[in-house]
Amino acid sequence: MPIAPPPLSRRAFLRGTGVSLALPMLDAMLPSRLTAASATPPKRLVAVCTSLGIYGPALFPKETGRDYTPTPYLELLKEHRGDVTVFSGLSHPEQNGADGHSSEMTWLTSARHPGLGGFRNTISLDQFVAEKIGVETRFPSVVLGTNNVSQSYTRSGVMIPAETKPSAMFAKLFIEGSSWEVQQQRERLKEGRSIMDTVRDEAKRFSARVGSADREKLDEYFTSVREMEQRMAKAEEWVQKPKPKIDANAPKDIAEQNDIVGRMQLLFDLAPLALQTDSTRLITILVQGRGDVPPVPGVSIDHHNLSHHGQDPEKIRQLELIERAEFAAFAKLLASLKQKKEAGTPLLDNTMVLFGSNLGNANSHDWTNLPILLAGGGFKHGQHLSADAKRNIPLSNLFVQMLQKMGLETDSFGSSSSTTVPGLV
Amino acid sequence: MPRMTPAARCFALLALVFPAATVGAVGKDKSEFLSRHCTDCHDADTKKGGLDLTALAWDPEKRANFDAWVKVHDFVAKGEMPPKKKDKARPEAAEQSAFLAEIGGGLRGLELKRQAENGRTGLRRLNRGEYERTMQDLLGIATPLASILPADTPAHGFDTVAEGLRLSMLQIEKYLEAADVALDAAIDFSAEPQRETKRYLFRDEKNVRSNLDKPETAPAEDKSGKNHRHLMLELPDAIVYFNEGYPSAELRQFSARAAGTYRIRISGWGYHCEGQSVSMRVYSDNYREKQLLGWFDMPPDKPRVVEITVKLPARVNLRIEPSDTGVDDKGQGVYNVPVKELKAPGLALQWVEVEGPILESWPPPSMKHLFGDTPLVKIDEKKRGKGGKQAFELAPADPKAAAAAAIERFAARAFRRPLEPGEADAFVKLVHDRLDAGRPFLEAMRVGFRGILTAPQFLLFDERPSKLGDYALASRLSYFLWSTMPDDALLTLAAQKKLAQPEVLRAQAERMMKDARFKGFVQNFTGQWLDLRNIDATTPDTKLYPEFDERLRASMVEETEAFFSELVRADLSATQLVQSDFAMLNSRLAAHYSIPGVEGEQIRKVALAPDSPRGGVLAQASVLKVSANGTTTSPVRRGIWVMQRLLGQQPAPPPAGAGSIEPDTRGATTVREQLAKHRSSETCASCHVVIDPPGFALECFDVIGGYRDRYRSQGEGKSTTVPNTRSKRKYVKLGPPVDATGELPDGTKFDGFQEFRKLLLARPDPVIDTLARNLVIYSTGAPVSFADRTEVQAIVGRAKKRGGGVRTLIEEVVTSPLFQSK
Repeated sequence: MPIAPPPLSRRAFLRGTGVSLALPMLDAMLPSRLTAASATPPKRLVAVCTSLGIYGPALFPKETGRDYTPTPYLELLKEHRGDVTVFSGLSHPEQNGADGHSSEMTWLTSARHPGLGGFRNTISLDQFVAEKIGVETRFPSVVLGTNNVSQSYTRSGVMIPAETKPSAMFAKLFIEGSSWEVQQQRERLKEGRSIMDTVRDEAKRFSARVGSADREKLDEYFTSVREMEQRMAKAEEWVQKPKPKIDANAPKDIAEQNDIVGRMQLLFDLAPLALQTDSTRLITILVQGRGDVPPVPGVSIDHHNLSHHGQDPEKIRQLELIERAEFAAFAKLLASLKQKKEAGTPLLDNTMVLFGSNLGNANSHDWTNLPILLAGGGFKHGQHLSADAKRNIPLSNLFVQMLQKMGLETDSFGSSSSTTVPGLV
Repeated sequence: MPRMTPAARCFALLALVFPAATVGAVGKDKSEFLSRHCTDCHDADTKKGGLDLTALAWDPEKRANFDAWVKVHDFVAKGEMPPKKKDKARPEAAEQSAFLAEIGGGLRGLELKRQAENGRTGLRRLNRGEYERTMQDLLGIATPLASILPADTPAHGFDTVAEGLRLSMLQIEKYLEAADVALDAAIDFSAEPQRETKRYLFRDEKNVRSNLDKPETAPAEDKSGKNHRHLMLELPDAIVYFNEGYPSAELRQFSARAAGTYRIRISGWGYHCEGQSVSMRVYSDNYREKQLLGWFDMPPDKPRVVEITVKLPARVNLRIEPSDTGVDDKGQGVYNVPVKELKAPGLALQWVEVEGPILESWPPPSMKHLFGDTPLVKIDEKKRGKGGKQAFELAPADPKAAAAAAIERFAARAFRRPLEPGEADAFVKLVHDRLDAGRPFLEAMRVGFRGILTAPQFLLFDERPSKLGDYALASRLSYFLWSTMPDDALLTLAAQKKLAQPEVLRAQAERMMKDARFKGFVQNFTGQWLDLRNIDATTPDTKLYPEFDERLRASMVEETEAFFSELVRADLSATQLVQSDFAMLNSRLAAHYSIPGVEGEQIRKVALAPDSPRGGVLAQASVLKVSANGTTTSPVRRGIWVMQRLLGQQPAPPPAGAGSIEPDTRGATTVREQLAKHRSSETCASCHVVIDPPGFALECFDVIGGYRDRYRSQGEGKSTTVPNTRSKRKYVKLGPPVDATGELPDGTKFDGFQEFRKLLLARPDPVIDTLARNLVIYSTGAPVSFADRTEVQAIVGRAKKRGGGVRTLIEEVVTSPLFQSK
């Protein structure tokens, strides 16, 4: 009985085709429960980190409170002054780790001593929320990055690799497969579920003969397989539901790895679309600085090197050029979130945007006094809130306030202490 | 119970005899010792070093408490505590050893009890590197897979340690995805690609011809750039290239027909290069990704033919670029010079010959691995479908029987042991269910394969407490020395129950260390122990280090790997890690180290002059690069590197708010001056007096491992050329002089790196101990715990008795009870 292989690579069908779906985005196309008069729009969270620090003197204002004089970077955000709070004196405690950049792993988790000894990361802010509300959207969370590294960690401390291609994410979010493709997709999910069924039974063989300490580890396997199975079942439901239609062209990816600002901008363009269509409510974006020269006019030295400026004025000048470009992109993101409306209010009002870095002073790998900005989400903004530069307030205290704004009943996260960040309401 | 040393067994007995007496309150003798010698400072009031011993209960069942008592034990055992003070009597020897025996016995007993229940090593899975190699060997493919999986978190320094190897839904999702990618690569029904040998001339390249046809100099009024003529010179039998980067010598006439092994031969020579060779870099390039295949020193004026055999993906072209060219006699970069007037070194390329793809067999071995004896028949050419790509098809007489046979065979190989009765049934059922549902044979089989490749038996190590079974031992050995699954020889010995015999085990270890797969160990072990995986974490500042190039970067890691391999091959003493009378060099490294007389790109063993600062890992560029940040060196960072990696000491982390040094390269101040301020405070000094000295000694090496007696500056400073490179006219500015003197914590002074190295060499034990410890952690996937220390010491003792060579040490690890028990 001769058997032929299938005509098409089985994984090919979901690749984006770059088609433009020129249909207007109307309020009527929002998820139905959002437009109902009684429904309140959901809360969302976007967290953006630039991993090579932000040059402090160009960011932090001298004065605290509402009447601060804008610094060069804040000048770029002046249109959004009333929607942004600038924090100084926040950091995660005990972040000295395997090397100077280890705190990149823990910006959203706050686990102590990253990379040292028996370090195990903890769940990140976005995944903590995803565990609670993730089932309500097609994508429990969206993890994006300029490299495939992210700051989103599962409960067992595994990093979720970032999607780096905006076109691929766009396709997953908005591009509908043909009916044949949808059929194939369902078939595969079914196959996947029977595989999960089988391997779970196999793990029982193991469990009969392992000691108590190993049983915990095996439980991790069982849990993973069960969650995978549930996720596939959920996905089977979603596969049959049409994807949201939007008035936007599929983005064109930037192939150049060194163009982090361009890549960041594309991811920033995608975020409001994903939020507005309620495809997800949680997005993290890691803009990972690199050891090469970004194509920012006037920059000739590689970014990592510039961050170790050694007080060289020329390096600081070039570093500021890159960071200005990053702030300009951030300003555009805020503008876009403001411009999009749902039930009459700007999307930004229901979207917290955290922007900052895991390094306070990258020149010396200092992980205290982090640059942190928070926009939108229903907080009262417009201030520079400052804590003691020597005795920092745990950044997780801010996270707790954000979680509460998200509607989660929790009074602790990671290394949070019992207080709130003074002045933030 | 695992095999134990007599001493360990004795402690285990103690714990059984006095279990209750040691848990709960601090024993009477312990508390007397503590109150007499410790609690003056370490009480609730003074709490020196943050430690209050009056509040430290004896509760070692809890991890944190256990660790705290280990610290107390070690401080007293090393004699660091109680500190030497004039007005205070030291504990008497007998009193001290009784104290240590009591604490040590209690801790050890508890741990041995735990180990007896569960083994030292927790249940662990393949890490992503092991997964990739295993899949490649299992399926007979070369496809990279590791990058599909989430990164593993190393624990205790290595990504082989169970603690860090977590599982999550994401992990499972990615295993399914990776299995699909691997199966796509392994399943191939196409016709056998024809092996071809062809010789290509650069003058036949389209863009070369059109470039050569342009006028020597573009008319001044033409600003379009279209008529710009790139620098290249046509000789009767070669084309000479001058530019180090674009436009390099592209070979578009060749494009790999299929993924596979290709033999590439290139003929060329150094043109107008004054008796010096010119380097040639060879890349594969598909205009998205450019990969360095190798580099070669091409001799002046007479052709050399180089040959490399490489695996290429389908549809890549070749690209060749010269190094150390494109600068004329005056040191000017050459651009718009009429080529006939040009007097500059270049690379003359005569021809490139490519042979391939070189295949073992067809259909590829991967098909046999997957489908076993299922007949694979050629489709009649006339009957082939559209495009005619498919030339073979599976033709099982009885699909269900064929599926069962193939799945069982595959599962046994994937699980690295014979199957238990009925173990493959569930996977066979997966396939049969799909067949019953009317799915095609191949598709149904894929579901079974994906099941096996996500199963715990494949992903997890099947180790049971106490002594490892023969197959578990085969896997442990194989993943230790090869980072992949055991081969047939190991599995056969396991089947014969011979593998655990000491002489057999030793012979297998010997065999495996000579095998090409041993490279897997060398890369993964040195990559993590010496931190070489971080070689690209920083890019050296191009203004400060203009001599840094791709060849040097690639050679650095090769040097250290070759050095470690040489220690194993020749069974040289571990002390050679500190200082050796040889180095593993090629021409690029030799130039970088200012060692004359080394020509050519191959790394080879070079004898060093007795007064050479090189020799040993501390003077290797790779280590010096990963311990710096690309711009500046920090004695603190390098000091910590030496302590942790070479001496096995863990410096205490800085207290909160200690701050760090702000690097400054403006040329006015040195890091030593900055550190002096830092160290003047007493709290800082107590640790920095230990941390900094090795770092001070290493100040004579710059961020890429070049020797220096002056810093380089970005601000002030006299301009000079870089001496230790063959590239001409690389200019840097000189900063303040380097001071590499220092003083050990015990007051011994050294006048520079070489004296410091002598001092290290005078006390080599910590180096051997640290290597042994790391080998044990890496190979067994578990940290060296308090109770394991005696066994590690025994391994070192046995190795030393047999000469102390690194290969001997590895053998002693393999034949030790630690290695052979879970």
